[in-house]
Amino acid sequence: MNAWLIKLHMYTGLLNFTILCVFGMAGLVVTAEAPDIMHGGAQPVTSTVPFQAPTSASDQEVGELIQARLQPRHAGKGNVRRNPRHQLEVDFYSVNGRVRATLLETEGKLEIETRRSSIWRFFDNAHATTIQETATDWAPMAWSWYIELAIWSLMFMALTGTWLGLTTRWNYWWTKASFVAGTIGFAVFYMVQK
Amino acid sequence: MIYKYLRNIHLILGLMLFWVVMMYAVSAVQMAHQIRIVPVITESDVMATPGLDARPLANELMEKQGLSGEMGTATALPGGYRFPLIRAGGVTQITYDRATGKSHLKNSDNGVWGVLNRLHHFHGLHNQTGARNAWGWAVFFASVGIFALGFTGLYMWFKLHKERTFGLVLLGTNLLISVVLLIALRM
Repeated sequence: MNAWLIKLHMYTGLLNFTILCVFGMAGLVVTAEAPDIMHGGAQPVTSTVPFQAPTSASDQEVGELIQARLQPRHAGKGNVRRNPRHQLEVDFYSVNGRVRATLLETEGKLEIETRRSSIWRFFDNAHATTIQETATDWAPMAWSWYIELAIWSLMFMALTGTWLGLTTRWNYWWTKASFVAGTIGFAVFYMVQK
Repeated sequence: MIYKYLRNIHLILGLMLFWVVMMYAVSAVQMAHQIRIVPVITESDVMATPGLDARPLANELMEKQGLSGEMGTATALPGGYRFPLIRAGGVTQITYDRATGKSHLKNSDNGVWGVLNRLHHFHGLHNQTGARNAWGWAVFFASVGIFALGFTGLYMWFKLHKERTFGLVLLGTNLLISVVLLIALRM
């Protein structure tokens, strides 16, 4: 059985190699606290487009019309709210950052502010793009299913790898030492953080 | 020699990181599938020294009431303030009356799922508590470890000549799909 497990462990690893690198990268990005879109230093790109909100539509309906008009790439459903100046604001978040549309109702315009995340934050966002993602275009949907596969693959690799390590190399001193150290270490972290 | 060395590194890292990787994978399933975490809420009132600011109050409550966690932002209220003490397994919301010292503690406990979920999100080396910073280092170690596991695994596969062809197909598929998707996502 172990011969097959080794093959499956290896094949799963090869099929998920890139995404494991994305997971590792995400961990390094948050450890280094890479600046997010609000603190990255890059100036937002601002533009305006003509837009007339239907006079009898609710804020939510206008938000949907704005989304249909702008079609921000890879973004899910927009967050609709009023800003302190009582203007309708819709935020569209995606793996690349945020597009904020502010409705200038009296001028018949939409002010669009785009804040693009750094490549490092992009990796962090990409690793968190799961099947709960509400974006409907093909790239985030395909990526989210790839992430789903990677999550289960990661679990499978951890379980098979540990089984293989413990059963085939039990006599190696480092096998026992590293597993015991990892178990105690995690248990301590769990208890302390709890 | 190199093969043996990298094989041992792969084994040692894999075993050391087993529980951390499982924590990430299990909590990722919880989030991706929206497995609901139902908190257990308990409330109590305790008396603390009147007239304290938020940090001294937090320290007093930790010392005398056995509370723990990282202090969140304090919000002013009429006659006092409110702030949370955030732990992996839950949060204690403290509402304090400056004049009397009366402190209302609302504790929500999220159980194992909650702890795993929070551990997944805790990171960084500049937190308020040493325990959180230690976990931040563990996250760093795990991240580097994931890379090391990937590359040592790749090397070991490459040394298995019989597996090269099929492995190249799998690796090629992985690279093609993920690079195309990442580029499409970034555009």
